[in-house]
Amino acid sequence: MNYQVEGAFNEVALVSLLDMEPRKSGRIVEIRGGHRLAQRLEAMGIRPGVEIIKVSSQPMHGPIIIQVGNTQAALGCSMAARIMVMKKGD
Amino acid sequence: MNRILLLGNPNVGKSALFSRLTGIHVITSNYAGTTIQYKKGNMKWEGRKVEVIDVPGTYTLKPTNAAEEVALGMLRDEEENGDGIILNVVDATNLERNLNLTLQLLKRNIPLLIVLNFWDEAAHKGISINAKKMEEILGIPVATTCAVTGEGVNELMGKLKDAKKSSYEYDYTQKWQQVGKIVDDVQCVTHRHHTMWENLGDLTIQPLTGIPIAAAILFLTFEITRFFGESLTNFIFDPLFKTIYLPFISRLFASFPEFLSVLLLGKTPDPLDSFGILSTGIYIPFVIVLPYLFSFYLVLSFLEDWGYLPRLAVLSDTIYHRLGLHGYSMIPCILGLGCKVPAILSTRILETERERIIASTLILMAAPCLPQTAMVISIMSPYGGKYLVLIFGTILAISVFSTYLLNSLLKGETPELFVEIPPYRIPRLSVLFNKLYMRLCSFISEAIPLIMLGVAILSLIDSFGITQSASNFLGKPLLYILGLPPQVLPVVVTGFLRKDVSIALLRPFFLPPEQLAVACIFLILYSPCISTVFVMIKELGVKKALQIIGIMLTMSLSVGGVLNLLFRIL
Repeated sequence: MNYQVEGAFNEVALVSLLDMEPRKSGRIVEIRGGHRLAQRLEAMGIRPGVEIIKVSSQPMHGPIIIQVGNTQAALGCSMAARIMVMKKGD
Repeated sequence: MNRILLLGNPNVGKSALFSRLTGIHVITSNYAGTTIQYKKGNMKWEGRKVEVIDVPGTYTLKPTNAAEEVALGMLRDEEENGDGIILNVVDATNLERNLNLTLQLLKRNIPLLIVLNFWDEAAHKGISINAKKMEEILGIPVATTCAVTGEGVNELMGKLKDAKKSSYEYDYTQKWQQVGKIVDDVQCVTHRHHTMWENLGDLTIQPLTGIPIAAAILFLTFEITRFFGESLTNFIFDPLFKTIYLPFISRLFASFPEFLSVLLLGKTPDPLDSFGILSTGIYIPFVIVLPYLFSFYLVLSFLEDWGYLPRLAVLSDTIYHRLGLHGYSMIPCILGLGCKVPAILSTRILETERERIIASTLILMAAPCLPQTAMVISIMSPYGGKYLVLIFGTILAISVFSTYLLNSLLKGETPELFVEIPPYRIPRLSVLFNKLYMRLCSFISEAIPLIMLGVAILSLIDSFGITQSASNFLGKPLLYILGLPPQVLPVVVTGFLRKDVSIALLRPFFLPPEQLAVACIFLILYSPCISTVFVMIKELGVKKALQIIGIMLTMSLSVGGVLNLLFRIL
């Protein structure tokens, strides 16, 4: 089950949070993967439709820090790989 | 109403509010997961006694770890059997995210009241919330507070009686749209540029700058602890003990029968060799341990309240992953440098039992607790730094090896890090010193009786001459494997009570430094102290606790044995 926002997006414009450059922002479009992951992320307000800023990433597959609203959170890189983002300005 | 449950997201100030309401001091910090077990207290309200419960924080009513399960369990229990209300503590600077839980609580069959906490910080960040309008929309009272300073708490008390079940209706599948609508209606945000603090804060999580900063902070933590601890011991506590306390008690008990005065004051004037309950038994905890404990917890409390620890967790995540843990295990590990008991408890912030077992092993083995560290430094320092490096280096290496082994033996995988990074906050001195005071008090009230008991037992064994026969029989393995004299055996036994005492008690044997180092490593690793064992049994069960102790005993004997052999050959 995927959590998609209304409306069609061009697959090409989508980038995973992992691949996005640090200090860039975008809008979450889809969370790929299990229901449980989507639920955990949602509990902290990380869900399709919200604006997200990638604050930093750590080397050697380290965690990614993101900001949603006034909340900053750190998440592991394979979690980040499953969060698809539409970059701002693209 | 006879009970108040404080419920809300992690790190929104529930514990600070609990302290305000009940007058009971609890540990508060600036990171998610400070409160891992619920805390009960009473407050006076309209001339009656009302129970207040500080519940561990949760983002949702679908729990993902042990601490969140506690929260849900308490809510269910109250809903079914109780006559209580819920104070939903909300972080006013994060309204949208917090309302997610609020909406879930609105559906429950229990009276509710919302507390918008961090009210001052929200104003500072250009966020203003119309509490009146929020009351109208949700149909329940909304209070605004700054729990740390106590602002708004009196008004909150006045609103308690108005708490009620909400009639607010919404479609659960449209939850976030509802949240969005409420936020749009009640919140107004003035745009504002990044402050200098935020920009500086950003540097601590970018890898290029963050790693050197982390190294510097860890180094400073170590140096400040050492410097303050050493200075307090050498220039204040030791002179006070020797010039005022010791002459005083010596005169006081001078006329006592010899048996008693030996028990209380020991045989020699040196407080570390005498074994007296009132000499060694006071000197170890107050002169050697307390100064280091004071300075370590001073620095730790500052880092906790500032909000640095979760950032350190992020930076060290990659290293922890090799051991089967994620970076948030850093927090229990750092607590473990002070005392193992709160450290083992705080492993509840980890998601799986596998992680808790691995983390507990790492906490227990990676470094001794602070009282032991202080004792090791004090006993080894005459022989130079190389023995200290040898002792602490060996222990760290063994712990990494053991944890690595556990990680490959235990089935299951390592969950990924997923935690909130709190904003940096300037630590409040009153909160910081209060926390420091609580931690020192718990050392004084829990550890000191055990230290004295340990010293007393040893002194009695010594005076009855049991030592010789028992040691000769049971001490043989020590002699053969570790190369230590069998007389050391009673020290091992008392070590189970208080491990810092056991290390102090090595001194009168006048061992050469190599043997002393082997003995220190063995005593640090062979088993946790009795208080820690109880907590482990409670948290992990008897079987898991015994398994971990088994690993520790095996490792301590084999490493001690190998070192002993190496020393003999070299």
